[in-house]
Amino acid sequence: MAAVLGLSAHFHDAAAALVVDGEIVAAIQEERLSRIKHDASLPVRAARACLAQAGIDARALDAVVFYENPFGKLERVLLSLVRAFPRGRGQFVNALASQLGSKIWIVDEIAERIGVGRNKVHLGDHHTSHAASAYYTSPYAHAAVLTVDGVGERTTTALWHGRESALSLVESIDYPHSLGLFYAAFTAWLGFAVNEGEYKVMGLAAFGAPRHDTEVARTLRLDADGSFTLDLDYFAHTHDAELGFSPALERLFGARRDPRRPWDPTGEDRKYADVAASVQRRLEEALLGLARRARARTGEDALCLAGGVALNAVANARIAAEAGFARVYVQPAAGDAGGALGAALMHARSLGDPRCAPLRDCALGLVADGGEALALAASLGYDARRIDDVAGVAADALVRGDVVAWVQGRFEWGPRALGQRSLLALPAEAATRERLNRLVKEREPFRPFAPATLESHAARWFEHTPNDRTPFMTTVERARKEAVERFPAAVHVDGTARLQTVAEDGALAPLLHALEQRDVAPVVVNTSLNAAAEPIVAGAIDALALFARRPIDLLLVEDVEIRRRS
Amino acid sequence: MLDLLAAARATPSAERRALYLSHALDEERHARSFAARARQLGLRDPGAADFDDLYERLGEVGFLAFVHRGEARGRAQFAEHRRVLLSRGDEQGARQFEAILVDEERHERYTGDLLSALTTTPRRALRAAALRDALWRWRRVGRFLSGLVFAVLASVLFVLLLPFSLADRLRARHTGWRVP
Repeated sequence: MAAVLGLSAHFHDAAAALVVDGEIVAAIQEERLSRIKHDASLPVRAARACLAQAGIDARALDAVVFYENPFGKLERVLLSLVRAFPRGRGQFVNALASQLGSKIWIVDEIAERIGVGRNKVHLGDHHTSHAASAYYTSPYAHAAVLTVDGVGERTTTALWHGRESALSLVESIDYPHSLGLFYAAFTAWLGFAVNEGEYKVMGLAAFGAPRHDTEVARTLRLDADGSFTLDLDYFAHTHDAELGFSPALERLFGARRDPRRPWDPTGEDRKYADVAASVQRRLEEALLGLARRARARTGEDALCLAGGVALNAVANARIAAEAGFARVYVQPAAGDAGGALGAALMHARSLGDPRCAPLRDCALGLVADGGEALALAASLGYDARRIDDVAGVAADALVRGDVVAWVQGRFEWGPRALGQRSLLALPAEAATRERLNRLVKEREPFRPFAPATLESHAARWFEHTPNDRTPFMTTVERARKEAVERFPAAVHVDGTARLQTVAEDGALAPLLHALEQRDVAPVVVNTSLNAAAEPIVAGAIDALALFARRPIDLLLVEDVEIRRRS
Repeated sequence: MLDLLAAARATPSAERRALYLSHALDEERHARSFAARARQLGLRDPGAADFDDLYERLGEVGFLAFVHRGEARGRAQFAEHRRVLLSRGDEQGARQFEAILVDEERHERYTGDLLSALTTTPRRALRAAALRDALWRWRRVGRFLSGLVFAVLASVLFVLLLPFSLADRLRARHTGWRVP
């Protein structure tokens, strides 16, 4: 029986996850506590918070595991730059500075800053950590596992076989051929930030028609055995990590989009939306090829997915529908943050601890302090009081057309708000989407919002059968005609929605039932509680700071109701 | 703003928590107002705020001394900006600084009051902050210079990669699945 802390850091989305006696006690992304979006620094705050949650000291840890091997990464970076010579001088200087300056000293840094002996610090493997995070938290005793991202040490895609407690690598695809970097290059070409704007590409794709399939296929070749190859003439990641695409890509598709220009995906930006649609379709085909390969090689009926590319909810829906698996599960923090969890779980297994219980919800963070919110709200001049019926007050506000900030329980693990740190509204008015996008979230007008409803009601409005993805918002489902008409703020332009289904004991269940009692359909728009370029709210102070700056009508922090004075 | 929010989270006093949060909200409002003006003038967005983890590194007294000095410096600079803009006939710009100056004066006052309340030697804390400021500036210069030296050395090293690159080109490239 052991206490194992997993850490990810020094690329993007640093996180800490604590596993005690095989069970997940806490998992926290550093950005939630540092308030720096995608914070990559060593997650010291998150680690301390995980330890505090378990009530143990760092000295009580049996092991601290870093999610990848920085020496393997350094070797790949140097080899890749040797191959790219004479291009990539700038990249060489930057990579050397970054690797030699901090990354290769990670064992010492962890030992010193977390406060454990150097002999307790271990290095994991990037894709193994991803695979473990997906398989060990899944509800499956046997499964195929696919990990797909930009790149780890040298692997970009890996196929695994999970059997009971064992997880073994079947085969893999190496850098520079990478689906994550394929998508990232087009993300940059569309004027979005890489490692941040990929899901915007997915949302934009719905506005376009895949008119550029032939051109996109030239950049990414798909082979009959499920593997793929990038035509590196169109990409620059081997020698320019910032940009990711080469002048040849601009010759093929035209000039990159100016990110400062406002978006008009149905007008001036139609062409960009069309390219996004083709890129999305190509990615889906590539992932389908990989998933079919996984099924053929393992013979399993269940598939687990992790790695940054597994956050593509639209592609996940196609995999679930077309790849031949009976069940598909996506680890909700599928990106690099999730590696921290996988590293901890993998090491705990190696120490003989039992496999953890399947992940049922993502509330693995910290609770916000209602008392603190009450005192602060009064100091800032808001009306604040304790209430008994939180769900009822929220339901009444939603029925009035209010936007409600909902802070209840431990905050979520992963990038999705799943009812612990949510911004809620009723989806009946299309104008709600505009209001949330423009005034509250300050983001592109084409970005969709997701609905949340009770699992028991989902099939009425969506083409839904119970599955392992909708509880975590890692897939999309087609909305039925009635839902398209009744919930325009929560259905995307292509008729799909990134649905969250809520179990009877879920955080949003009392609120959804309270809506039902008021003769309102139990469906809410559920988006993350944050402003543009900010991490999702963690504690009471963050919630009040957001409430003070954005036109949110009601803030509920635990049992404290906070409103502006009229 | 992020340092003030971190201080609000960390301070043991409910009163100071509210003050730091209010201050952070003011700073965010200023940043948005500057960003809007920059857009109006066709300039680049000033970008996101830095986070230096000052509260944790310096403690509350050190943090307050640092912020107090920054506010005093900011007030003096903004007063000068307002004067220059007025002399150029830019009344909108001058009004913007006028409005912010009110906040800056309040911030300078409250941080000074808190500093006096929290330590019996506020002047010493301010002198230590000034010294730290100078040290950090020196380190920034040092980092910049060492960065330049490193870039030159690494560039020379990069040129030495040529023979390895030529040798590598003779090797066949592997694509597709790799079996462990």
